[in-house]
Amino acid sequence: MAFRDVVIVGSGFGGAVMAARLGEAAKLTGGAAKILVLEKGEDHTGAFDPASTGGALNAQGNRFRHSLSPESSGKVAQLFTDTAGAFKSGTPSMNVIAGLGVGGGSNAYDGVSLRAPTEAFEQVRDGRRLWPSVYSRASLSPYYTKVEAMLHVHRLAWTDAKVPHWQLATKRDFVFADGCRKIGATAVPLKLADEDDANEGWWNQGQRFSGRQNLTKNYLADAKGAGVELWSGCDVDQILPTKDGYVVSGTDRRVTPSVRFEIECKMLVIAAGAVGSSGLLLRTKPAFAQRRAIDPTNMVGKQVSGNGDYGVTGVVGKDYEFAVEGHKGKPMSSFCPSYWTQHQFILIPFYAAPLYLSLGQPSTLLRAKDPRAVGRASTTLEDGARDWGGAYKQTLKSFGSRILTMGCLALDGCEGEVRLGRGGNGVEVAWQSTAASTERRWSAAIDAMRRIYESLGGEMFLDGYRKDGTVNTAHPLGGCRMAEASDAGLGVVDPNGEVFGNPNLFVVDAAIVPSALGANPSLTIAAVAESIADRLVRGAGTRSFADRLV
Amino acid sequence: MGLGLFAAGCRPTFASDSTAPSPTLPGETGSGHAAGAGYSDNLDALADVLLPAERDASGKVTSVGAREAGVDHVMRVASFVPLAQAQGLLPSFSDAVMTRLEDLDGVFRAQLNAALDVAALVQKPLTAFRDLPRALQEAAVDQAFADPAQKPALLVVRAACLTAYLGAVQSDAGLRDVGFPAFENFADGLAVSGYPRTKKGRLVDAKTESLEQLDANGDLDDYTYNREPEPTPGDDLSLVLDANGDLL
Repeated sequence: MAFRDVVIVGSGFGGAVMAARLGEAAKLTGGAAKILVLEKGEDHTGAFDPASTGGALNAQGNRFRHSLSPESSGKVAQLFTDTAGAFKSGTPSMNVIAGLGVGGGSNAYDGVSLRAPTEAFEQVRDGRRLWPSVYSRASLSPYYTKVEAMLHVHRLAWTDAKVPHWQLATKRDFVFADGCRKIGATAVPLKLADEDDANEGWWNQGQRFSGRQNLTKNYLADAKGAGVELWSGCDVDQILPTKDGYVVSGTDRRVTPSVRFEIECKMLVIAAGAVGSSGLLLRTKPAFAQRRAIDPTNMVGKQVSGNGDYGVTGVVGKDYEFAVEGHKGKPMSSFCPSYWTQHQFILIPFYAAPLYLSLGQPSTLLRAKDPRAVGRASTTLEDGARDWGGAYKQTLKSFGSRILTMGCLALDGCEGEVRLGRGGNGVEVAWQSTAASTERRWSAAIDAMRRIYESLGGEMFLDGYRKDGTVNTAHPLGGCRMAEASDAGLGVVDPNGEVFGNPNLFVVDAAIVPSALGANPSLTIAAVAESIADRLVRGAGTRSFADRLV
Repeated sequence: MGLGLFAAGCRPTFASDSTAPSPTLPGETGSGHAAGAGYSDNLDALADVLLPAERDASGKVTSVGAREAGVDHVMRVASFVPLAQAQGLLPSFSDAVMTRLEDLDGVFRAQLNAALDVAALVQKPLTAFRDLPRALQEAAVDQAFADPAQKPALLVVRAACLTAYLGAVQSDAGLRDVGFPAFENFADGLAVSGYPRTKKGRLVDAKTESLEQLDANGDLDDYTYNREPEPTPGDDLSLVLDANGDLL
């Protein structure tokens, strides 16, 4: 059986940071420790795994194409859904979009890099702080700074008086700002992780140019430099404890036909994302539990946040026609923080390719019967409206120049769940019911967004939550939540990401984040991983990395 | 620097200098079918009902639909159904339904063609679906969508229509139809390589060229207005944001 000292499952904002930092530590101590990253998707760069499948490299030296076709976008993002319809039969109660391929979530993110607000870390439920005491906005500050340097994070601007032209917010952000002002709110430029961006448009998933800070350009490049191996196309489906460590097994799809692999390791870091990591533990739990107890209080897959994501689509009025131009520039470059203090949500205008606005529900691109309705499954299509045919096509044609998409990110109540699908194989997500506090925030956000559209002379269309009760999120958090070491029953991992009762088994990614953040989470996930790696390498409050490999 | 583009309201008018333009499809050349004529089968007609082309009096296509945008090609994409499901374009189906959807270009097509003829009988006896007047075709489709047994098949064809029209799988004809510029190099999957550009599509180097001058000449296609929005009276963000632009 193959052996590596450390195996890391996943190469996103958790796995890439751990690979870089543990790789550096191993290199400093002579490089004897062997570290391997296993990634389910392809190596879009061709630089990390020569055996990776995928087409020829393009002129920019990667395999990214435009993000519109399912054939292309299916290589950089994956959808987890609720096949049973937990809220309404036949309709998903939740859809989660997650990154795929070497670089994980950075293949599908929009580069937004906001620090989570203080209030996110101080949330309390049942009299207990959701986050372990070691975490606060202040304690994470040095790690945020570290990640921001690695990802070249900078704040955009409205004018190029002080910044290069490529660092400007887009026209549609100016339109959004105008709408915000008309309802008494304010839009400001976002912080983004990009560099000398070509603003080529159709930026949403993957990016063939060098602008966006994909993790392959920073953390994973450092990991490679430190001698860390990376295998793409390797889908881990089981982990088992041994006397001295763990055995990881799965399917290697780089060869045809695919083959099974098994690797033994001393230390195992699961970093496959909120849904992926939770799903892996759920799938492996029955066999694992025959050898050693894991998750005795059944917390895996529970208390999953969608980070309060709620997206809507609409059109602006004639005065703003030709001004929103979705195909140009960065997909997100401003946000409205005006409602944070009162309602704990922010608003972000963004561009998504027209095909994906439908998300299988083309009717959500049409008018609601009651435009002012708020709440789950609160309204339907206008009477007689069809989501196909000539009139529908005319609606689509009107989008090209007038479409403006917006979303809110809020503090939700972690009402989601990751669970096993039919037959115990596939991983699914579900959102059974919405907490009253979440409903209040979303209702206030929807009302604000509707008023922005109307102030711009346009209108907001029907969305999936109001029509069918479907929660769509690109920011899943939790499922293997952290808890204080003294509160093992309330979580899956301790504040260092180590699974309770299972030494040297870690989860370090979005899955351990114990609450919604209210801001785009990639920066916080990476900062939490930096803090864990720092404590491990220094042996601060836990056994040191070096000790663990002896 | 302030460009004043807001007042200009410029619409992109790319005279693309593409190296490999998107393929021109039959329906775009003016040889398109008149409504109700020339369909190869019922499914071909169904695609034109779900996402129709628009034609002038002579039958020339003035606005492409799903057929002209390559829905036939999309229906032949290997594993289209699971691919579309993985992207959220189709819901989950039962195993029994998935079995019916395995061979989209063969058994599925034949079964749907037959089912559409049955649906057409209700509208007008002894008339194939593809030969029905458009209003009756739409009525038949309405009925089929309302039938749980038929609905999955229609959802698949609708997803294929939307994918062909907006997904730029075989061509960018649909995207151009809704107002987006042509791909710079469709064969290479390259939509656009950057902004700002001139109206004729040349990429401008903002470091060395005067965007103000280009704008003054009416020759700038930018992604930004490059000016400060007006402040919002009474909305003090100092209690919400820090100096770096993060929420406090």
